[in-house]
Amino acid sequence: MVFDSKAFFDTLFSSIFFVPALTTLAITFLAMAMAIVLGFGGALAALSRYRALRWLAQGYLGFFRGVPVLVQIVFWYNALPVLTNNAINLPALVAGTIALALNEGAYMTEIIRSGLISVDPCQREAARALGMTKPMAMRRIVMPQALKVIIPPTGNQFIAMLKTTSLLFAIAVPEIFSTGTNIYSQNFKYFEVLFVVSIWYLVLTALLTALQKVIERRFAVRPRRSTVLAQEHG
Amino acid sequence: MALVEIKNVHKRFGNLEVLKGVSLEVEAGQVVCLLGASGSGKTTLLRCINHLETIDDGEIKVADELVGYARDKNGKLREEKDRITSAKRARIGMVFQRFNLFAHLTVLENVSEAPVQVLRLSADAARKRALDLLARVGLKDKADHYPHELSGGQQQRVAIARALAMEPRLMLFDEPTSALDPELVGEVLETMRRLAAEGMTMVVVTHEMSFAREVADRAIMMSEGQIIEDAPPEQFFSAPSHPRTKSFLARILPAQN
Ligand SMILES: Nc1ncnc2c1ncn2[C@@H]1O[C@H](COP(=O)(O)OP(=O)(O)O)[C@@H](O)[C@H]1O
Ligand SMILES: [Mg+2]
Repeated sequence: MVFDSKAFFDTLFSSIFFVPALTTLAITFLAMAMAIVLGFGGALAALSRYRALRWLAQGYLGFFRGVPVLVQIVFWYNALPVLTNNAINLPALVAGTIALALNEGAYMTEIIRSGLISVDPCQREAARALGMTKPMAMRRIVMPQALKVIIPPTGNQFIAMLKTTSLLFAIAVPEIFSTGTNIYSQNFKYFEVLFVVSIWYLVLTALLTALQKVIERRFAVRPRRSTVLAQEHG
Repeated sequence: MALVEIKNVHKRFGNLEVLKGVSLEVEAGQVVCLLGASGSGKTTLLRCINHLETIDDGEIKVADELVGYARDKNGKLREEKDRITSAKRARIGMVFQRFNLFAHLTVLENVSEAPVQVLRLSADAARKRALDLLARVGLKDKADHYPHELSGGQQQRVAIARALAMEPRLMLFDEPTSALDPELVGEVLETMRRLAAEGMTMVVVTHEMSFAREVADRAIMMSEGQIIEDAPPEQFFSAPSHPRTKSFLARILPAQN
C-alpha cells in the first residue's frame, strides 16, 4: 500500500473541514434537542392512562424503529416534494435534520420512559399526598430522579447521532463525510481522506464524551451543603 | 360537626370489594387507631380519605368538604379538578409505612419542598419552618443529610415533619412503625404521642397495641372491609363485643407482651 502522506497532511491541515464540522455539530445538537422533546412527549403518551395516547406512542415507536433511517432521510428530501406536488420541498439540511430527529425521538421515547418507570411510584404518591398537582410532582420529584437514569444513555445517543449525521451525504448535506467524498472523488486518495474524516469524527466524539462526563457528574448525588451552619452563623 | 365524616363508603378493585359500606366520624382533636388483620382494608380506607384512591359509593368529607369530588346540579358526585383536590389534600398529612422520603432531596429540602411549591412560601420562610419542625422531631443536625444516610426511625420522623410542614388539620398514619427495627419503634411512637398531646387529629393504622391503649381516644376494628367494633380503648381491649375482635386480640396481644 502506498500512503500519500503529503495528501494526508494537506487534507488534515486544510480549513476545508471547519465549516462541515460545525454543520455536523449543529445537526447533531438540533436533531437531539428535537428528539428529546419528542421523547418526553412520547414517554408521557406511552405511560398515559389514555389508551389512544398509548397506541399513538406504540405506533410511533414501531414505525420509526422499523424503517431504516437512510430510507427516512431520502423520503423527507426526495419523496416528500413529489408526494405533495412540491408544496413541501425542504432544503437538504432541514429535511435531513427532521428525519434524524424523528427517528431518534423513538429511541429517546424508550430511554425517557424507562427513566420515568425506574422511579418508585411511592415517590410520586408522597408528592401527591403533600398536595402537589400531577405536573408539579412530575417536575419536582419524579423527573429529577428519572434524569439520573436518562442522562447516561442520552449521552451515548448524542455520540451515535454525531456519527449517524454522515448518512446525510446521501442527500448532499455538506457535513464532514460528504465533504470527504467530494475530495476523494477528485483526487482518488480514498484512504488518506477517510483517515482525515475519521480523525475529525474522533475529535468531535472526544469533545462530546468530555461534555457527557461533566453533565453526568453534575447530576450525580449532589454534595452535602451546610445549610444549618450557614444559618447559625449568619 | 366532625372533622372527618365517612358515610357508607364502598370501594372495589375490579371484582374485589375491599370496603363494604364503611361509616366513621372523627372529631377534631381525636386520635383514632384502626386495627385489623392484613387485607381488611385499613390502608385503602386511609387512602380514600385523601383521595389517593377513588371511591365507588358513599362520600367522605374532611372539614365539611368533599375530597376529590364535587356535587353537580343534580346532586350526583363528579370527580373534581386535580388542582382543587390537591389543595384539599395539602391540608391532610400522610405518613407511610415505608417513609417515602424524596431520595434526591436533603432532609431539609424534603420538609421545605411542598411548602414552597404548594403553599408558595418563600424559600426563607419554608427553611425556617423546616428547621423548626426538624428540631421538634430531634433531627435538626441531620438537615443536610440525604434520606439514605438516616436510620429508618429517623427517616420516619423526617416524614412526620414533612407532613407537619403543610400545617395539616388531620394526620393519617399507615403502619408508621411496621417497617422499623424494634429498637427504633419507640422514637417514632414518642413523636406521635407528642403530636397527639398537642391536639392533632390523627387516624392511625397500627399494630402497636400499647400506643392504641395509651394514646387513642377510640380503637376501631376492621374486618373484611367493614368496621365491626368502635370503642374507647379500655373497653376495646378488656371487653370487646365482636368475636372477631376477641380472636384478633387473642392472637396479637400475647405476642406483644
Ligand atoms: N391497588 C390495588 N389493586 C387491587 N387490589 C388491591 C389494591 N390495593 C389493595 N388491594 C386489595 O384490597 C384488600 C385490602 O387491602 P389493604 O387496604 O391494603 O388492607 P390492609 O391495609 O388492611 O392490610 C387486599 O385484599 C388487597 O389485596
Ligand atoms: Mg395496609
